[in-house]
Amino acid sequence: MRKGIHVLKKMLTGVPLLKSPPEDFSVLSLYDTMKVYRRGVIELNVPQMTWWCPVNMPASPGANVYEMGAEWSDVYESKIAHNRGYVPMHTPALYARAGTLGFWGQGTDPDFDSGDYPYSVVDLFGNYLFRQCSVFGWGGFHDSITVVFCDDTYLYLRYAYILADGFNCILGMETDPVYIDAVTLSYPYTIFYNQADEKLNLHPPVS
Amino acid sequence: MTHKIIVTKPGFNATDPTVQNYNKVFSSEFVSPKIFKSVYFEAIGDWTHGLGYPPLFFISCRLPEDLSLEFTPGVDVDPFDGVDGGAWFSLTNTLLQSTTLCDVTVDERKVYCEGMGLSDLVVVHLSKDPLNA
Repeated sequence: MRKGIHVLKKMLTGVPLLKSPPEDFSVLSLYDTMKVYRRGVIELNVPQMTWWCPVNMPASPGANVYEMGAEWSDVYESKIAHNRGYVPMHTPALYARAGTLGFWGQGTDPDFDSGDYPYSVVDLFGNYLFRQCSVFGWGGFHDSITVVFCDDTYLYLRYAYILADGFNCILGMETDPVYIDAVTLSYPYTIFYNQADEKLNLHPPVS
Repeated sequence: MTHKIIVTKPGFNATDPTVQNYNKVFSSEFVSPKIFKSVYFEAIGDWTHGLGYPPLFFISCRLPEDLSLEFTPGVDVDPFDGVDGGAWFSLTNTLLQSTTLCDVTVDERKVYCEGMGLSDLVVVHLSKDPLNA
């Protein structure tokens, strides 16, 4: 006999409670369910970055200063301790690559007018668009990765960015650095009591 | 007479009919997912659930600790550096991330893992509740 709590979605006259299939119950304590542990917003303040062409890279670059095409930025991190002692199920599960189309607005150059430099470089997917730094309109590529994930102690939000060689740099035409504006990333999250890697089996396999 | 079980958050009266649903910790009027099985995939494969309908499911997947990513030719980055036990993604939107994380689908007989992406372990949490109800 089934023990526990059984609540049918709708009582059907003449159908014995214990013979109703599981999907007809709103609650059936024979099985596990999703249980919210914590909700909130995880934020990450990514500082302004300064990217130099290799030929002009300062000898002592300081914080948040990088060399185009030669390195990724630091991996910026924000994390929230959940202290469950196991990996919990959670949202969002974010794994985002983005050479964003909105990049034009991120480059800081008060004199920049895209209309003056019509020859942009865009990849086959339209993903990568580089601030055009020369009158010849030669561009380059950029990329970023944003991830939200868990281990058994924390929920993490991490972000890294790269500005790859522009043709301007290769030819030594770009003498000023490119500034990438500071940005705050913000994601609502939910952490469940449920264990992501639980080996659960409350029903024998059906062949 | 219809009976029901209601548990409210602290500060709310379970017998008060004006209490909003979001202030209830539990109500038997809600349909709770009834999870009955975690199916482990360490490679592409399938598992027979035999329910006769496509079930609701949730996914968790793990990226290996020693994952090496070359995001830009010749320039690597490891966004999971220092994370012990691998980075876990859960309740994944597989439509957006199938090539990177995993590719899981269900039908009325089976659950399929048709792509592991970068993951070395994919756990599918199966519910008795129909996906399309």
